[in-house]
Amino acid sequence: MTSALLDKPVVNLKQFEPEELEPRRKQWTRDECFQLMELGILEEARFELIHGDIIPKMTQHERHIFTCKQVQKALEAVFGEAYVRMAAPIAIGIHEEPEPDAAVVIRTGREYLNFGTPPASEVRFAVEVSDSTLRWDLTTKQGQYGSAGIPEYWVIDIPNNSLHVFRQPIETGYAEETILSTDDEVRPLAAPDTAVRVADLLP
Amino acid sequence: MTEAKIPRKRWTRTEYRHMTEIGVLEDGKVELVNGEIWCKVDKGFPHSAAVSRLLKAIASTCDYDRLQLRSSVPLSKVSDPEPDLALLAHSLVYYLESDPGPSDVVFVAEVSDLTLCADLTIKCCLYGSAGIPEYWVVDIPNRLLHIFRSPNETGYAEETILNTDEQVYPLAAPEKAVRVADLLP
Repeated sequence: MTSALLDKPVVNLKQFEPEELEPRRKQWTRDECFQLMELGILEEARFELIHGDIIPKMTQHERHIFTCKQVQKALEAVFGEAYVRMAAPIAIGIHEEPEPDAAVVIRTGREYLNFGTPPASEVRFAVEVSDSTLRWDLTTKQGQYGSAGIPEYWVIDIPNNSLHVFRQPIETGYAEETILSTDDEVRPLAAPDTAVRVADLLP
Repeated sequence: MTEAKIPRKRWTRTEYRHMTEIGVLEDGKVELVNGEIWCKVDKGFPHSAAVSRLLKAIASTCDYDRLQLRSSVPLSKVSDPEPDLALLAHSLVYYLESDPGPSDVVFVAEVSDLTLCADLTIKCCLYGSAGIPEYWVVDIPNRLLHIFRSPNETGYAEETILNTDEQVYPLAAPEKAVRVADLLP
């Protein structure tokens, strides 16, 4: 080699934003994911599609499973069994198909046999039960559900024994966040006359 | 609160190849880097011209039959990148039966315009940690050649940046000089 290192690097990597480091990652669509499931490459119900990324679902701990059951009982008491979906997909655009732990929708499960996966516009509110996924649920998921226009989003925060209620969806998430403790109760926007005790949602 | 780290799916090379074979992924349009599927950007004429010059320059230093142009090199269970140019240990006919492994790759080069940042960071780490002895990045925007040598676990221990007045002796052909000016469009 005829030359030593130049005095200073000409390319300063700090000028690049982190997202530019991986600017070309493939963004999957819901149709492609469906194709991968049919081909047996992806296992149904074992992943979610978020911003075009395929996110495998973690194995659930008993605390998570039990809490989901509590949420299911509480929501079914208010909205009726037919309108409550547990760990079932909702469709947002072509690049998103999340599976909230619980969702209340405007049609019955039987109706969706014909209509297919409910779009975000038919979701009255979504719930995530958070144990190890708290940060993810409070940031990425909040952004996803809020920007899709879902009117209300709850995060059941197991580690801190509290409930985060997000309302007023905006482009980046939700404009309003209220954190409730086990002494409080919440009236869902979709059923304002009914009070749900936060304690009943937690293990 | 900052964004949570995305636990996105990491693909294996077997899954990746399968998806390419059945056409879910378009061959030649994607590559597998550290378990992620990257789409290739549309590169345009300066890039093609530089790849062509690079091929000509390297071919003058080695056996042409050992050069692989814009084809995949399987580096690990989760990486199957497609460098713009790769020099293999044997002629390509030798690999018709079984794919080359990382130890068969003697030299790789990327021609970078839009992909410069990824080529100097992620790709550098990828090729270095696979133990490829020498990696070049032909840097079109800055009209430079980045030479990476001494591979280690995190990339390369040695980086040399040359301008168009300089020349380089490839490790694979130490007696042959390549002029940096001959590589740039």
